[in-house]
Amino acid sequence: MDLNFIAFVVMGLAATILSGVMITRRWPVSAAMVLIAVMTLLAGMFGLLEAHFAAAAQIIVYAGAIMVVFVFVMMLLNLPPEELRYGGVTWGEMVLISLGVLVAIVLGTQVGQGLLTQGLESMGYAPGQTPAHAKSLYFAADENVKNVAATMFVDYLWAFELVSFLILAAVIGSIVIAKKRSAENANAA
Amino acid sequence: MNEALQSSLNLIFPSAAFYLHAAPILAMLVGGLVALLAGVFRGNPDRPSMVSYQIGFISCFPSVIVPLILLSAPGSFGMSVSQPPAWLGSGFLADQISQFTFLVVGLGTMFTLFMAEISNAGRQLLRPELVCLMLFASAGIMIMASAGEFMAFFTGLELMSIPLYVLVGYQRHDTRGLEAAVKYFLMGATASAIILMGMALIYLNIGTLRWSDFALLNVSLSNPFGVLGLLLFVVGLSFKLGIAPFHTWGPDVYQGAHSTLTGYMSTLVKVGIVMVVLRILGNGFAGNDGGVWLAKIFWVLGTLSILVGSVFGLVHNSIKRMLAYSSIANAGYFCLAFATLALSPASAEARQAVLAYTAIYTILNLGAFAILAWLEDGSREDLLKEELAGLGKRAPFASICLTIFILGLAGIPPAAGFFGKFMLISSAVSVGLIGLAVVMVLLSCVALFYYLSLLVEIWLKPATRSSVNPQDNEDSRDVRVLVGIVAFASLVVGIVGPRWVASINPTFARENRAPAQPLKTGQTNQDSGTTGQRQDL
Repeated sequence: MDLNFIAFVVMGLAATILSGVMITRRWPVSAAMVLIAVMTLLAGMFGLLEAHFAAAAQIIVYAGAIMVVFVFVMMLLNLPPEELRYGGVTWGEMVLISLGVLVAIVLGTQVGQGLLTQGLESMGYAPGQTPAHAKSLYFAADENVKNVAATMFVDYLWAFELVSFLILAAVIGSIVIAKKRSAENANAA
Repeated sequence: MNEALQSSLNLIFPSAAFYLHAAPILAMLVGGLVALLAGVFRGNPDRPSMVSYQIGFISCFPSVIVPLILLSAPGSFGMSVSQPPAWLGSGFLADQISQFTFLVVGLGTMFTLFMAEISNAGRQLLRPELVCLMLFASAGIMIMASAGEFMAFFTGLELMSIPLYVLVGYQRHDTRGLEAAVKYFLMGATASAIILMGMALIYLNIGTLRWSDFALLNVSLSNPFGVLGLLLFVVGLSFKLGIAPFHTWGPDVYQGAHSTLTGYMSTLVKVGIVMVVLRILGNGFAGNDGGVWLAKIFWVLGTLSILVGSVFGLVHNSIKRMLAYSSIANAGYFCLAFATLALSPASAEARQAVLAYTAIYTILNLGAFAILAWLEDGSREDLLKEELAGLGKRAPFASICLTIFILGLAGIPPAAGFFGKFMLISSAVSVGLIGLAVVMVLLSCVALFYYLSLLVEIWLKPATRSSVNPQDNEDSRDVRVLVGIVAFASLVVGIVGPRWVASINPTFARENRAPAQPLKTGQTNQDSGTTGQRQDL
């Protein structure tokens, strides 16, 4: 049992427990703070799995950018502490919980994982092996960041460039929707 | 320049021919930006901007001219006719199906912009930012229809959906418009999420996002997650197409949005999605019964759609709701086409029938909603059936055009709709889908009842006090000319359209690199540096 494995298990357990802590906080801000800790632990787990780019992106994007937005929104809305509900669980919640447990069982066992990757295995690829047709034209073994860059800027360059228009459309759209109300208020006043 | 750098740039960036083939998309995107900026520098930003409108109109020109050149002279500019090229990692397929879609979308966008300009309520749509959003939505449809892999398709899908959520919500100030926008947004977001989940499962199964590699997907119950992924994908696209039982948002959204926009939403959006389904199904699936399996699913969806569309349309009074149910019934015909494609993926006849039907359906529905927008222009916002009484005497020209469109949607011979449906049914019968074809025809007869009840109101009932009274001014003359052209076009397309579509080459473009193949046993797949260089055109 090497150090990596022990660290992975510790981080995984901590992340699971902290997720439970997060959804039971009464103050939204403390829930957000715990969420940052969960995100950081997830980044550590990605790093241990040698997905260094995903680890860095997790810290920068989730723990950094998105959480800042969350906290800003909470400050703007000035949210009061949530009323926590204790007591009976409804039938709908029971169904949802059992569905969640089912998914966890399927994805957490080797049988389930075997079913998931069955298509590739029937084509002759071992689990964890990258199929030849899925590789980028610039595929390089053991070079994580380079592979991410090659996929993004060579194979999916068209989609990558178009996403800039997508974001622009979303920005314009949100301004149009928000502006309409202020224009009406001005007319009414 | 450094030679190594030059060769890698050649690998990444497409050749000059790409910019010609993709000119419609690029012109729409750039036109949207220019229209937005024009509004910043010219005039009051809260008022409709004629400059933006003109820019928007002009940026639709390439999507009419370029496809006409490329469709009428296949093989020009040194392109291969038998195997059209693809660029950007299959992100853009330069085949005739793409060009055909560009033509339909370009003309449809021009028509929508023009209709918005000549009606009082529609002119609110011509504020610079809204023109920009509409052009982006059209570009998104084109991107989606010409995409050869999932990433470009999904970007196009969202680029189409997000502007439409805003346009629907913007149009009207009452709560119904807002309700429509929220419903459309929630349903659209759910559908996108379902499509994404489905694609994730498919990717896990075949390890690739390209449509052409879908042929590797084993569709049988021995591969549960692959089948689940494909099912989620189909369900997500059915939401977007408004196929029953995923249609419930349709009538509310169509009723809540302004008629000019409803015409756009109910036609061009579907054109894009139908082309995507055509491209996916046209590659076939691994295993013998994959297609048969999918054909059964489309059998059920198609029967449900036409049943819901025909029967529920009978009980409604609002014309927009009736047209919404008519579009659900027509989505049933798309299912018939998809079932045919699933059974015989390579059939050129089936692909051409889909192309012809989408084009004809677009013309008819755009025309019908244009007349509605014109009749509504004034105080009324939601016309009831009774309010059309006596229209035949008050506005004979509009009534004749509306009659042509309604007959076309019902599928009665002189109008275009008949030939579209005829081609679909004949290709379905030729692959043995006789049962579904019979169901379609029988339920279309039920739907005929509400189409004819509209015609009875228009031509046979005397005018009452509540009847709609179309205004007669300079704008309405423009409307008459335009709608007249569309009605004439629908008749002409009905007669020569099928023959023209038969000259379109429905071969999918493919990238010039080795297609994915199952690994043979004994062969190993070692991670080895750069895999072969792509020979880009």
